[in-house]
Amino acid sequence: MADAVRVNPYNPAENSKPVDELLKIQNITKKFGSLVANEDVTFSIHHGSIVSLIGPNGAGKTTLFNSISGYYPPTSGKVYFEGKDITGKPAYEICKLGITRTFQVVKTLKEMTVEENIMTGAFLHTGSRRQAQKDAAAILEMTGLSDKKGIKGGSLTIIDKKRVEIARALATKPKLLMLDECMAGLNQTEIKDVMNLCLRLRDEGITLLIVEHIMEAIMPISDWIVVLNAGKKIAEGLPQDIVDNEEVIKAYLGDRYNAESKKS
Amino acid sequence: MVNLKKYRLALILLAAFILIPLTIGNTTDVHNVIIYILIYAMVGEAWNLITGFTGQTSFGHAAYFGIGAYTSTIMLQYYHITPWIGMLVGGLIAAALAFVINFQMFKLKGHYFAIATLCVAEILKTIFSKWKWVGAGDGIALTPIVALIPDAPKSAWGKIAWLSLDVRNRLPFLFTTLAMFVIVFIVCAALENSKIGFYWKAIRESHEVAESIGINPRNYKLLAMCISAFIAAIGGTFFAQFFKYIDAITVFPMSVSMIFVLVTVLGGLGNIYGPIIGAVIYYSLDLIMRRLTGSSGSGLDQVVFGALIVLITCTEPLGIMGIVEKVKARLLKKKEGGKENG
Amino acid sequence: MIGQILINGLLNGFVYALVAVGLSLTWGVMDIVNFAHGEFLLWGMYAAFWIWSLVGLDPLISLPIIVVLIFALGVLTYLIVIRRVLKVSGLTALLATFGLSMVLKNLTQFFWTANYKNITNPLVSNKSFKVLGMYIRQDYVVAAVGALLLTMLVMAFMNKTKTGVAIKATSMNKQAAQLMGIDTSRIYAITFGLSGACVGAAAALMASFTPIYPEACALYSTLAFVIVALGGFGNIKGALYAGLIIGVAEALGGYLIGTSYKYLVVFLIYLIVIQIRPRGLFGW
Repeated sequence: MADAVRVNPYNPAENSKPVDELLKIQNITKKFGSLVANEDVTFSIHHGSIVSLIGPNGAGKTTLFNSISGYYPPTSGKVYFEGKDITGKPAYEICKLGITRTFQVVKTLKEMTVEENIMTGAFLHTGSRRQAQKDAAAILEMTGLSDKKGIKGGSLTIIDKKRVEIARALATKPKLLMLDECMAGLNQTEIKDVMNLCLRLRDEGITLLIVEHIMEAIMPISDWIVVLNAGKKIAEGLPQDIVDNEEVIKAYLGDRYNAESKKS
Repeated sequence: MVNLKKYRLALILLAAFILIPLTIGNTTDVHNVIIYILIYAMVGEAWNLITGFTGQTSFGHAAYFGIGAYTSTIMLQYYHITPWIGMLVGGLIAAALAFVINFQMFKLKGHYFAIATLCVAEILKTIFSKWKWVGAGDGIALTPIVALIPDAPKSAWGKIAWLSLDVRNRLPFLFTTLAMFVIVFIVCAALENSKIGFYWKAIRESHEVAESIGINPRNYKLLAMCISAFIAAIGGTFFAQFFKYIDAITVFPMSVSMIFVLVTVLGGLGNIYGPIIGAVIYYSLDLIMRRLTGSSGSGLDQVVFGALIVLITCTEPLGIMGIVEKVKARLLKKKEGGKENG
Repeated sequence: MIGQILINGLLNGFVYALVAVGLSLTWGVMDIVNFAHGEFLLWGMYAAFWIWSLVGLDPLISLPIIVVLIFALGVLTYLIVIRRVLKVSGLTALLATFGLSMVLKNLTQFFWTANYKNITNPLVSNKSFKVLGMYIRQDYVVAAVGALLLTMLVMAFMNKTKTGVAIKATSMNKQAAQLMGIDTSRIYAITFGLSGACVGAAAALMASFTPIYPEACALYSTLAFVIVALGGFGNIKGALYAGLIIGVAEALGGYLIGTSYKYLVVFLIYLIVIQIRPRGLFGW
C-alpha cells in the first residue's frame, strides 16, 4: 500500500477528479476597531490534503485561524465546512462538527497528566472513561508519548507540550486539524518528527491546515500554499510555484527560503 | 472490581469516623465537633466541585447552604413534612436558584465572579432577615417533631425522631450525617472520574482549550454550580436540624461562606479529600485551642488558631493533602530506589 | 431632603473610597485578596484611640503617626506572610490572610476586650453647619476632604513617582518588570505598606466619630471588596468613583427603601452594573 502513488488533489496534472472541498473560506474580513487583520480572504481546502498558511509576522494568520475555529466571528464573509455555513458558530460547536485546532502558545492542561489531557479530548465521542482511555492509548502510541502518560502537563518539555497539544486535538477525531505554528522552537530532529506525523495523519484521512514559519519544513509536505501579507491573500498555489512567485518572495520569503535553497 | 487500594485513605477515614465517637471520643463535646466536621466537609465537597475542579471561585456558598436550612426547616415547622423530603426540596430550590443566577453570571471572569457570588449571599441575608414569614430577625427555633404532633403515641416517638432527623440522641444523628457525607463523597469521586470531571478540570485549566475540544464551558459550569448548590443545601438541612435554630445571620453571612473555602483550601483545593481532611484539622485544632485556653472569651484561642492557619499555609501552600502527596512521592521514590539496588 | 441624603452619602463615599483604594493596591497589583484589610483599618482605629487616650493627641493630628504604623504593619505582613504564598494559587494566599485577620482581630479583643471605645471631645466636633438648607456635620466634612486629598495623593504617587510607575509596571507584567531591573519583591512590600497607609489614614479620619470595637471594620472590608470590583481591578480612579457611587447608593437606598435594606441596594448595584460592564466600571 505504501507503493501507491499519492495524488495531490490540488495539482491538475495529477488529479482529474472534480474538486472535493472540505472547507471553504469566502471573503473573510476581520476588523478590530480600525485595524484590519484580515481583508477579503478566500481559499478552499480539499479533502485529504495539507494546506499551509504562510506569511510574515502580523499577516493575520492566527486571526484567520480564530475566525475559522469560532473564537471570534469574522466581521464579514463566510466559512463553509462540508458545504454547511459555520460562520460565527461558537468554537465548541465547530469542534463537534469536526474542526479542531491547536494554539500557537501551547496551552497544556497543566494540572492534568498527559493521558488525562488526551482523554479530555477523547471524551468528545464517548461518555465512557474506559473507552476514552482506550482511544487515548492509541493516540499516545502514535505521538510517541506512551512512556510519559503519567507526567503532569505543566512539567513537560516544550516538544512534549506540543505533542500533547496535537494529541489532544487528535483525540477529538477531527476531519480537519488546524495546527498553529506547532514547529516553532523545535530542533531539526523534532521538526522532522512533526513533519512525519503530519504526513501520517494525512494518509489516515485527516485534512490539515497548517500555519507555519519554517519554510524548510512546510514546503515538502504541503499540497497547497496560501500566502497572507498585511491581512490580504497575495498568492496561493502549489509549493513549487509559490517559491518562484515574485510577489511572495518580495513580501516574505526573500532572504530566507531563497537564500537557503540557493545554498543547497 | 473497585480498586480498594486507591481508596485506602477513604476507608481509614471512614473507620476513624465510626470508631472514634464510640470509643475515645464518646463525649457530647467530641460528638458535636464531629458532626460539625461532617456538615462543613459536606458543603466543602460541594464548594470544591465548582471552585476546586471547575475553577470558578465562589465566595457565596452560604446562599445555597442557607436556602437548604430554611427550606427544610419551614417545611418541618409549618407543614410537618419530614426533613428527608425537605432536604431534597431545598436542594432542588438551591439548584434552580443557582441556575437562574449563574446563567448570566458565568460570563464574568475571576474576581468579578467571586464578588458577584458574595453579593448574592449578602442579598439573601438581608431579605431573610426582614422576611416576616420566615421569622425575620427572630429566626426560627426548631421544635422537636413530637411537639409538632402532640397526639402521637409514645411508641411512635422513635420512628418520628428518625423521620424528623431528631438530634437529641447524638450518636444516631452523627451516623446519619456520616452516611450522608459518604454518599456525597462517593458522588463527588464518581463525578471527578467521569467525563464531566475531566471537562470541569479542562475548563479550570483553560477556557480556550476546553472550547477547542468541543466543551461548552458555560453549560458545564452551570452543571457544576447546580450540583454544588444541591449538595450545599443538604448540608444546610443537617446544620439546621443539628443547631435547632436558624436565622439569616447564622446561615447566610460571608463568614459561613468562608468556612467552606477554608476547610477545603486547608485540606487541599481540587482534591476530593481536601474538605474532609481540612475540616478535621480545622475543628480539631479549634477544639484543642478551646480546651487549652478554657474558652474564656478572651479571643486568645482564636489568635493562636489564626496563627496556626498562617503557619500551615506558609509552610505548605498546597494544603494538608500537599504534604500527603509529597510524602507519598518520597515513599514511592524510596521503593523504586530499593528495587534498583536489589 | 434628597440633597441632604446625597451629601451624607457622598461624604461617606469618600472614606469608603480611601479604604477601597488601599485594597485595590494589593488586590489589583499583587492579585492577592487580603482578608486582613479590614483588620488593618481596625488596628488603625485602635492606634488612634490609644494615642488619644494616653498622649492626648487628636486622631487628626496623630494621623501621620498612624499612617506610618499601619504602613509598617503592611510591610511586615508582606515580609512574614504574603511573600511565602505568592507562588501558589490565590486561594492559598486568601487562607493565609484570613488566618492573619483572625489573629489581628482577636488580639484586639484579648488586649482591650470587646467593649466599645469612643474618642470624646475630638478636635472637630460633630456640630452641623447649614448650607443651602442642608445640615452638614463638620467632622464628616473633614474626614471626606481628608480622604479625597489622600486618595489624590496616592494617585499622584502612582502616576508621578518612579516607585509608583514601577508598581504599575509590576502589576501589568511581573516577569517583564523584573527583566527591566525592578526589584519586584521590594515593590510588593511597598505596595502592601501603601495599602496599609491608606487604611491607616482612613482610620485616623474616622476614629473620632466611629465606635471602636473588634467587629467595627467587618462591614468596611466587605464594602471595600465590592467597591474595588465595581471600579475595576487595579484601577485606583475606578475605586474612588465606585466608592462615591456606593456611598450615595447606600444613603439613597436607606432613605427610599429603609435603613435595613441599604446594603441590599449596594449589592444589587454591583450585580446589575457588572452585567453591563463585566470588567467593572473603569476596567480594562
